[in-house]
Amino acid sequence: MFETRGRLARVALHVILIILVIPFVVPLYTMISGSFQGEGLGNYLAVLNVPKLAYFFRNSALIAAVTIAIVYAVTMMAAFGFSKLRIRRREVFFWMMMAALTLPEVVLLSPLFKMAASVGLYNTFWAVIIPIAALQVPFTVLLTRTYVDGIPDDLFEAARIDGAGTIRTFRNVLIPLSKPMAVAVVVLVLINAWNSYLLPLVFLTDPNYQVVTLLPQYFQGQYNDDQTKVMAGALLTALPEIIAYVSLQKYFERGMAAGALK
Amino acid sequence: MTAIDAPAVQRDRRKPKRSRMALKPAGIAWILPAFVLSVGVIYFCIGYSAVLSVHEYRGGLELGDAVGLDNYRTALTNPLFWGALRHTLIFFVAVSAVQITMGIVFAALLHSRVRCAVVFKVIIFLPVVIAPAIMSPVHRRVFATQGPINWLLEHSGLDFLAQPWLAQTSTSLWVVIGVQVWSSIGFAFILFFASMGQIDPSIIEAARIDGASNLRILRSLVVPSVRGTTIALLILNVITSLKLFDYPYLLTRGGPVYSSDFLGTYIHREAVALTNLGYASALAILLLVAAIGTAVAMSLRARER
Amino acid sequence: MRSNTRGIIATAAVAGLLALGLVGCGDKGAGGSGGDVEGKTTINWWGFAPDVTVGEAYVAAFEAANPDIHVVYKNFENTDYAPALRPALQSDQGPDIYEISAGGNVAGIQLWTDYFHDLTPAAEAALGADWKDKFAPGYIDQLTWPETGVLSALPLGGVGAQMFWYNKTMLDDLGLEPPEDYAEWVEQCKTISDAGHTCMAMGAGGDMTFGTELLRTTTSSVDTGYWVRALKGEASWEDPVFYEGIDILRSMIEDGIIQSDAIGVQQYPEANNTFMAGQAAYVQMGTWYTQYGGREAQIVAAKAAGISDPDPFVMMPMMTPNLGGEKPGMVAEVEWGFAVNPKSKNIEAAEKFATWFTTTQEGQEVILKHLDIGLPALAGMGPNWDEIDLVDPDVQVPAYKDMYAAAAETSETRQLHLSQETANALVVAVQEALATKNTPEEIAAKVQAAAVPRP
Repeated sequence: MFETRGRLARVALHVILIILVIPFVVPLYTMISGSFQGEGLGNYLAVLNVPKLAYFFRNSALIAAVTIAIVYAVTMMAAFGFSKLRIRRREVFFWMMMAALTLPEVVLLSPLFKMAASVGLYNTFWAVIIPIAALQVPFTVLLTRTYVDGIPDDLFEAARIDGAGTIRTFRNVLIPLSKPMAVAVVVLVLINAWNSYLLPLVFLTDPNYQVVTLLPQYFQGQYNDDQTKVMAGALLTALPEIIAYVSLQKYFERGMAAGALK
Repeated sequence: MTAIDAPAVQRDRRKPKRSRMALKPAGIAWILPAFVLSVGVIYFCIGYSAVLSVHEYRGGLELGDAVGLDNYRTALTNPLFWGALRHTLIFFVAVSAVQITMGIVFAALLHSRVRCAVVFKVIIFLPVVIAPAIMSPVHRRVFATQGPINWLLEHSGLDFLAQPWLAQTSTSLWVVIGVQVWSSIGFAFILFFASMGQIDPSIIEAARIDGASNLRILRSLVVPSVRGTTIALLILNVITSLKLFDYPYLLTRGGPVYSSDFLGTYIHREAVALTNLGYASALAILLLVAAIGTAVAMSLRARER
Repeated sequence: MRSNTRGIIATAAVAGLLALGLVGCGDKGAGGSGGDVEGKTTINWWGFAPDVTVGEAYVAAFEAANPDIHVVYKNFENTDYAPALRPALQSDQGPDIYEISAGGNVAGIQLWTDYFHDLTPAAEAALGADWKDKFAPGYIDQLTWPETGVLSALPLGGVGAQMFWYNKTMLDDLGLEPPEDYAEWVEQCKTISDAGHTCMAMGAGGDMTFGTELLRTTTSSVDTGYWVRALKGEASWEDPVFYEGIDILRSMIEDGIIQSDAIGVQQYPEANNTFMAGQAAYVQMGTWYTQYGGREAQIVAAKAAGISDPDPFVMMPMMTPNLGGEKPGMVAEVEWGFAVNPKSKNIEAAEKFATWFTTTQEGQEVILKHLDIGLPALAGMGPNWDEIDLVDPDVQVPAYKDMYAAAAETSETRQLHLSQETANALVVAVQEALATKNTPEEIAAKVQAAAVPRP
């Protein structure tokens, strides 16, 4: 975006970036150094020794994967519909969906429990996946619709003139062109599904169904609070999210360089 | 493709375009899955809360007496409700301003040629990932009387600014705002980074050949092109500010003396600590009305412009 | 480009299918709640205490003694417990066992009146006709709902509070003895801060009740007994005794006993860490702190507070000094009990679980082994001090025994008469006292307006 001609300008750019990043680093540094206090690396070993740790990660990954698949599919379709297709009273539909974003979790708990228990989904992963997806969809639709609005209509019309049906237009024009936003959607849903706490806590009783956000419980309780291991656990838990972000990011930049958006 | 429209903005308001719109295929089937999923699940919860909100309900098997709109009346005449709304407004303005500015700046900087860009991206992204429950004790440490912030102030000749941030009614709200800004810039960054990718590089190149400076390009070219994302973020911020719970709860419990109370913490207190579930539901419905009202008004304004 | 796109879709589809398959498998594995594991009856236990690892130790001990029952323990943060438990108890898929305490807003008995299963017959079957006398005095009454006479839960153990702990090693180094009265304490704190330590680590912030407990301590040292009368509604909060309690609390900051930013500090983890790290001379904690008197437990706690090479100090209990006219003594009550969900499909197994821990010596010993539950529920039992590796048993054992005796003797309860409205009003009162310049009269008037007595 910014072009830097000459060494000086390039150095200045980096200096500005480094200064701006300092406020981010202070709490992160406090956290990382905190995770090594007390028993040092032992904190990490203690986290890795939590029984059934692999299950925690497997279950969280599973919940995140299914949620992402669902949210990605319905979001792309809805963004396409809202932005590029003909819908009567589209704004009414749109804002009805947005309303679903507003209830606080503590208010949702009771009705969701009623619902899960009455359709027999209690203590299954669906009891967690469906509400998380339902809560994410309005959010991702809002973002993706904005993005798709930015793709020129001409491209879609050109496809139609070439004789492509709606489904083919969706697959061959919208999906490739909205990849950068798809990356953002995947990352956001991953964060929300991976970090969800109250829903898995309440709806999954089976000990084999524990998720990563319940890890701190092993180090934090009524009359003790081992922050050093909580932080070590948090960093280990955050790793998959960071890896996912970094690898998706790379992929997305390659896509841009290939001139996807021309 | 210089301007990206806001979600509710249709460019086809004028007649000739509307006829073109009629040629578009019907889209209702495409939005149906998303609609059924979110509206189907959450509207049951909204209806459930609406029923509770006109009752006295303390959490037993049976609903208490029907009280009509009493819970709403109590809420609207309660200074705690208006205090929470005032904090929400301050929070919304402050957080949005910083988050959007910094999100654009970081996205623009990292779209430039930068060494070790991944490192910067990860640092900006990390705060979004780590759950508030984990991060809060760290932030409390950062803002503690003996913490790094006061240390920095004392060692940079600004010692008159050092203070017990979390212990004062005058500063607690700003701690919450600061932490929220910290944890949400990365989110704005991801979105702006994605939408800046939509800008045609040849337009920027043309402006540069015309002699436009970097800052000029940012202001006159980049910022207008990401306007849609900016508005989407503002709408999301309205909703998050109104239902804000995690950071004020974890950092200050809304205190001291309600000085950092938000609707989210207020509802939680009424629902959990005080078991006034009917009243808490009325607050939740008021929140819903406020959120949708503000968001619709905002996007209507965006359309007028 | 195109192959890339197809690549993602294919990958996503495969991942989705795999995931769906796994979700499907998960469904089968789960079965209904209360399903059997290898022919055992499974019961679910939901609680806010003990911690996960301790809870699992309880379960292991119980399963060893009762091989036909399999128990699943689910631990909740205090603040999540009630909102999660309520819908669960209303449904048919709630836990078989849940926990109830005497008062307060985490699990107070008054929150669950629609969800009681009377445990009187089970207790009688286990202990005989005089079953009530076999428990520590008061505990059964505290878990009996007065309006119906239903015994809601069986008591696991009790808790005592309104007391302090001190770092004897630090005081010895400075040539100090625990103070007898307010003036002595102020004098001591000067010496302690001059030596570079914190006098008393205090976290009055948040909605935790530690700040309230300190206000209760100062108020009760003006007039012991007033606090419970006020909670019950027999005395007004707009009373000179309460005003003076607020004044003493404020002066503790001005006089340097507690740090000036106490309202911005939380008792857990912050104040606790300061004390465990050996940086503070005093801290206000209750009988549960006994668990850190042992050498090993203290090393673990100090490491958790960030000290890499901790040197255990001698931790001693201290009764409240004379702060405003008298020494108020301790308060104590049942800490929590096991309740059985009336909708449980395994009531028999659930009752067995509840009675095993509360009415058998074997079960009580399991609980007492984890000293976080300070006071035994069964009369005549107590911790086996010889088994605990204390830092300095010669001084600690007599002091700990005195503390347990004081807690067993007191008739003043801790949270029994505390409604959630009053609890919230008092939390705010402490914040007003420490973060605003409002007069005690103004603060008390607000408490009086918001409080709901629980006779």
